[in-house]
Amino acid sequence: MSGISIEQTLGDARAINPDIDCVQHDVHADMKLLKQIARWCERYTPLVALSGKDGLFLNITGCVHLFGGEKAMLEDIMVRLKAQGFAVRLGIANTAGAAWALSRYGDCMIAPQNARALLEPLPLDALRLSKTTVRELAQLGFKTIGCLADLPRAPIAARFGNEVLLRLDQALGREDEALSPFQPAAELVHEKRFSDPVVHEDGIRATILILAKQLALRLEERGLGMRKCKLLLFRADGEVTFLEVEASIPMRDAKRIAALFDERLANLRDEWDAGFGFDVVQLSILRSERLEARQEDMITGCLSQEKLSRLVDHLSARLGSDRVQVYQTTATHIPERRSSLAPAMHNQPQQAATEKTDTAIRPILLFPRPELTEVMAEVPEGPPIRFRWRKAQYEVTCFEGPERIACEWWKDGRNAHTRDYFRIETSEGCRLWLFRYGLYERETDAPKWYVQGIFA
Amino acid sequence: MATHHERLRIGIGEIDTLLGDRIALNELHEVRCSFSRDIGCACGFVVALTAQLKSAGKIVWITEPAIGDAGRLFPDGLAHFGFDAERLVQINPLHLNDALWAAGEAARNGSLAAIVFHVKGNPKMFDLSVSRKLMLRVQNSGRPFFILRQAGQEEASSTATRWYVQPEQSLPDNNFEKGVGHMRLRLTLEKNRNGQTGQWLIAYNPQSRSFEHAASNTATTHSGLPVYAPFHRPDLSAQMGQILAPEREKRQTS
Repeated sequence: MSGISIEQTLGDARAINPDIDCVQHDVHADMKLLKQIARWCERYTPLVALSGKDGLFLNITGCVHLFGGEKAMLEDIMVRLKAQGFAVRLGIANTAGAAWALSRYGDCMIAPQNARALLEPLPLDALRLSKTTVRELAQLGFKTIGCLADLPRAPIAARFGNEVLLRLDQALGREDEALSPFQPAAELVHEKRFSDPVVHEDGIRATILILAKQLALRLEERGLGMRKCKLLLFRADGEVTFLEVEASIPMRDAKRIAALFDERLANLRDEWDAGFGFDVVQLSILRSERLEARQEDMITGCLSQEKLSRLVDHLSARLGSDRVQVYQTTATHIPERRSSLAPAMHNQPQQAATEKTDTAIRPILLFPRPELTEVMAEVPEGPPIRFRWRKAQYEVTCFEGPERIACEWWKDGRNAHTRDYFRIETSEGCRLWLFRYGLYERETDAPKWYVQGIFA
Repeated sequence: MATHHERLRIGIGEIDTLLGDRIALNELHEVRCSFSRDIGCACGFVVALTAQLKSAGKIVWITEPAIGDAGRLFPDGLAHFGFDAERLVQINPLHLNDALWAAGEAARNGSLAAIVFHVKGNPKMFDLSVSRKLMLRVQNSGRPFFILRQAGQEEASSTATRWYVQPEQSLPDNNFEKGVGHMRLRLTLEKNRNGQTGQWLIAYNPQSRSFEHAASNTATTHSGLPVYAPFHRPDLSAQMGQILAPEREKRQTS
């Protein structure tokens, strides 16, 4: 809209056009949208970086020929993003700084090998400098990049610090600029493009298998196996579906890779929305490890181990790796901290158990959160006599204890209490693990009781 | 990877003969209890049986999401049954249908030592046809599959055996008369392929790691647990000294 610009006051804008709508700026929503576009841009190159809060850098080195040259690529991006309803400005140059300047201030979009001639007439704002620096430079009469380019460097550095020279050098290619990609760069990428979007899930599955076969060949050439793999489904209207699978041991069997994605897709079914279909399917290896070719042992050997890891991968792919777990023990006496669950995916070889001493009898089932109970017990340190647990009344017929477990004051601070554990049996034959929390009068006036476990 | 000498037994001749000398490895078995509080006993029965499986495979323990009140397996407690918690792969799906799917996948894997499916009550989704599918897979893979049914009723299913477990008061053991003895239960074989059923009072003997008759008070044959009363438990001195400035106690100024 003519006359209206960023950082204008609302009054001024209304004066120019009284009909404008006023909406509160939502920074997070903007960022989310930008990230979504960034993900979408991964169809052009795996190296997409965010630039501030309103721009993207695409490192298209080595990708241009796939789209039939820079001009064709630029047009493709332009057309597709415009079709999604975005206003876009683009620039291609051999440095990130120059591309930034050209896209925002230039009128030519593709810079030749040496962008200097194009950059020189541009205003200083195009150098990604802070506003105050630009203003100060303007007061000294520097209006364009060209004015600065050939000045002696020492006085500028003395007056304005490193920033001006750094940005200038970056724009002119005298200094390298590292872009940090928005997503970790994949080790291997294969993709398939469709002129007619694919809608059916079967089509997607077949495509994944084809891509997995191509990747498997590459992996075999390099003697590698896949540990982590990513699938991007680019919907024709700009949505990107992102799926990731992991393998507990390196593998490169295309069918198995595809099977893992089958599980993820099966789990997705409710949220699965093909819309107008997917026009690009991209499969990439995020992490790989050495995998030597080897012959299967026909009788026993590692087959069983492999079958197990296959099951773990399979279950983890569908249920999530935090749902398929193994037990780990920690060196502590507090029962709920003693054992923890960790994803089986990342914990294949267990290190030697921390300590396997013959400890006191422990319950077979433990409540990670002890359950509060009302207990009648002898004061101060006697065993429970009767108690109410889960809305039922129980009589204690015999008990063992107390077994005293002190708190871990170095973790819990001063407010944690000592626990006195009792192993009790009720008249129904229920064997439970109760504890009194706090020493009577020394730590608390009214100790509470908890049930923490069930014995066999 | 079934090794041919592997067998699963209750350890009491009378019961084992009813089963044809041993519990079939390539079948579905169900262990149920009627109340949630009895789950410890039912769980102990399954753990004591699966601990006998010495093959190298893992034991997959699948819990259905409705099992909230049963707590979770405690490795230190499992150790009393000779059950190594490192063999466990715990699967906790968010939905029952995922749990059933996982059970099916585990049942046909064949590399596992055993599979335990812990389910609460008698969910409709886990019906006869599902259990029949499971049975076919188990018969194929040859690995025992236990359905651990917490607070469940009798139900038609494709299991080879169904055991009903009720906890009983433990018997005093020789070493420590007043203490809590070990797991004692009233075991009912409700269903058996051979047709013979029965009910017994049995107790677990952690020394021989098997079950034995424990009908009355005086005639106990087991010699009891080793007394654990004074045992050595080192403090964790290695971890101390990490906090340099403990929070100073706040004095009330009012």
